[in-house]
Amino acid sequence: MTNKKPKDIYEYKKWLKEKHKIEISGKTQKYYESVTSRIKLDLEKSDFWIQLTENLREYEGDYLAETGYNLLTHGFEPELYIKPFDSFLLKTFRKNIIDNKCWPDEPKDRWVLPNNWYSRINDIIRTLFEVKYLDGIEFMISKVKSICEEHTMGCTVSLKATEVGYYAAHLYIRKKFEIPKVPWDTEWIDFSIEIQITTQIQEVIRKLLHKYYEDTRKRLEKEDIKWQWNYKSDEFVANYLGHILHYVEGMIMEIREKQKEEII
Amino acid sequence: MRKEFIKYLVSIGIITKALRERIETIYKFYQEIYPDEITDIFITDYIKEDGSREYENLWFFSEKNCMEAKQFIIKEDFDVTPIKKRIFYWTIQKQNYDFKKATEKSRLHLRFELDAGFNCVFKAAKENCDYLKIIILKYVVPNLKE
Repeated sequence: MTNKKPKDIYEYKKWLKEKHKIEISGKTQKYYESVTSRIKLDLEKSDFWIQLTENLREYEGDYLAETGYNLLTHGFEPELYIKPFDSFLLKTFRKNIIDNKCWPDEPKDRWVLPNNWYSRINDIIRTLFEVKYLDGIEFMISKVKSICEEHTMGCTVSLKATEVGYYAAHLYIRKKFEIPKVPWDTEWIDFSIEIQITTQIQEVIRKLLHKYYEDTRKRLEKEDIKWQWNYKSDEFVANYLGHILHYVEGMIMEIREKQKEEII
Repeated sequence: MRKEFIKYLVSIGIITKALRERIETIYKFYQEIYPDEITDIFITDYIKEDGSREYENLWFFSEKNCMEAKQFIIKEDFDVTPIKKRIFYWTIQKQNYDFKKATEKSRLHLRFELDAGFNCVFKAAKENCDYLKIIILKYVVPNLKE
């Protein structure tokens, strides 16, 4: 069993037990919930988060003054979301098995296991900023980066542009958190918070396609025909819609900038 | 809320009005569902590196059920499970605790499993260990499945 590639989450749990002596049970989930709730609470109380949320009105004003348009689509109280345990475990399945090019050996950047998984999975706690226009993404990135510098926190920016039509900026903020250990006392861990910045239109599409993406992620075997040629498939419509909308958003920016030049 | 519950909260350092009111609200919620049944209270806690105390989950007990309010300070997440003769396994880990009188260094961790597959986890620090001991003797040991 240990060298047979697990096909689904049930086989993965069995593999974890046989290969790494790790049992995924109700107590694993309870501990996960205890750790992640603590981190969320501490993050909400942190100077970084307080400053970021308090500054949102100021950013809105700056952008409006600069462009004549609104920056954010929603209010100024962003929510922090905790990844549900099942999605978290699925992500470790992807890292250890589905995307592991070295199978049956460990991935190049090591197995993701309970002794390191809070530091290795970088989107356990995330938030989302939804901007109206494409240039709002770059604007928000610079603001978040600037607060991170003030608080001497690491910040990595990843501009996502995937083959399957997903466009967004993901910022990963590194911060140390004190978490409860299993029996008692605490330990400090390095933890990543994910800040997603995307446009209103891309977010609408993402929500519509969420279920489709979830199903794709669980699948180990790839389709025989490339989705780009399978015009009857869900992927064809979904993925190209993502690309088209990104192009349209680029065009909107161009028109906006032309109008601005004409006024000047 | 019962006087002994308030006494318990004070003894483990819950003295702020806001926190007491939060617990009172949850108590009333459970009382609404299980009137006259609640006989005991317990709050899981642990000590941070700087010596401060963190409270995690709030529990109420009755003869038949245990009721949890997970991460009660920030969440509204409740569940109830019957315990009467349904516990088939328990495990305790302890540190600097003689199971008689807790000291500043005492730590106690309890986990029990119910036949329905649920896990109940409790941790206690300092004087709270004495209260967890009572919970163990009153609700866990007598409810082991025969």
